[in-house]
Amino acid sequence: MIVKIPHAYASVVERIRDTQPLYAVADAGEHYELRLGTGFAFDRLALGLTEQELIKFFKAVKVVGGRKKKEKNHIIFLPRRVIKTTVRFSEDEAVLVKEIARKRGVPVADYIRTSVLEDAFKEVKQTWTGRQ
Amino acid sequence: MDWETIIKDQGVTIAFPKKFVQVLQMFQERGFIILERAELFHVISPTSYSVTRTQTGLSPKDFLEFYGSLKVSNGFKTLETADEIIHIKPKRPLKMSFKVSAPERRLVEFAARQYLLDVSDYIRMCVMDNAIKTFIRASKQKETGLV
Repeated sequence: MIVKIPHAYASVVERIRDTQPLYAVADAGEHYELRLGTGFAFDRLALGLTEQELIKFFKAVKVVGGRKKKEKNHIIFLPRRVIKTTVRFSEDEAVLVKEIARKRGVPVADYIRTSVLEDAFKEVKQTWTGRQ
Repeated sequence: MDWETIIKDQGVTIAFPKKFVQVLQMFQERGFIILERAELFHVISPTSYSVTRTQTGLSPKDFLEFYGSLKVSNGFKTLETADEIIHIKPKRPLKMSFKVSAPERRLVEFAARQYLLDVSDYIRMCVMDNAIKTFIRASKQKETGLV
């Protein structure tokens, strides 16, 4: 997924570079290109924007191969998800997972995906940091 | 919802003779349900787990005898003889699916390789680990009343 950010937001791009070291931002002439391999949420304060500026920024960025979503103080970029992954659970495991997802107010599939990707992301980060 | 409601009587259950009483403490520390029925202890868990010989405090010979004596219902037992580890796995008849992008799939495959697990086992490990942690945290919060 490519997020195209207008040059007017150079300061935001710097913040993005500082806050997450895994994804590179390249200058592609007319705009900056942020290539995201996974879904990613950017916090308004971390980007150094006011609420109004966040709304403007949200409107200004274009997404290729995914979509953008705004939630309160976050802008979320979601890639197109086309690969179906199936996992088997015992009845008790399923009850537990459904109960926790219900408490968090999210669909079970979202809860599973978030749990796995957060852990996998940490793993990659650790490996990446260890190699440096 | 409490732990026993989640586990009900359908969790993976192991039963073993009471002479292996020293093994019980480890299961208690893990929060499993323990029942005494006739000459056997029954230990019920909602998910898979492993037990090493060191954790049981048994001698190599007793550990093998302990493994042989284990009766498992709603699941299976396997033994890694070289590493002295018993694996208990529940039957898993339910399927759950979710969608990911190609890079996300590669990310999960990479992380699974770090743990020497296949993708399904890795996903289940992450999900169950997070769910159990959340559950225990919520239970503690309920007990203490702290928010």
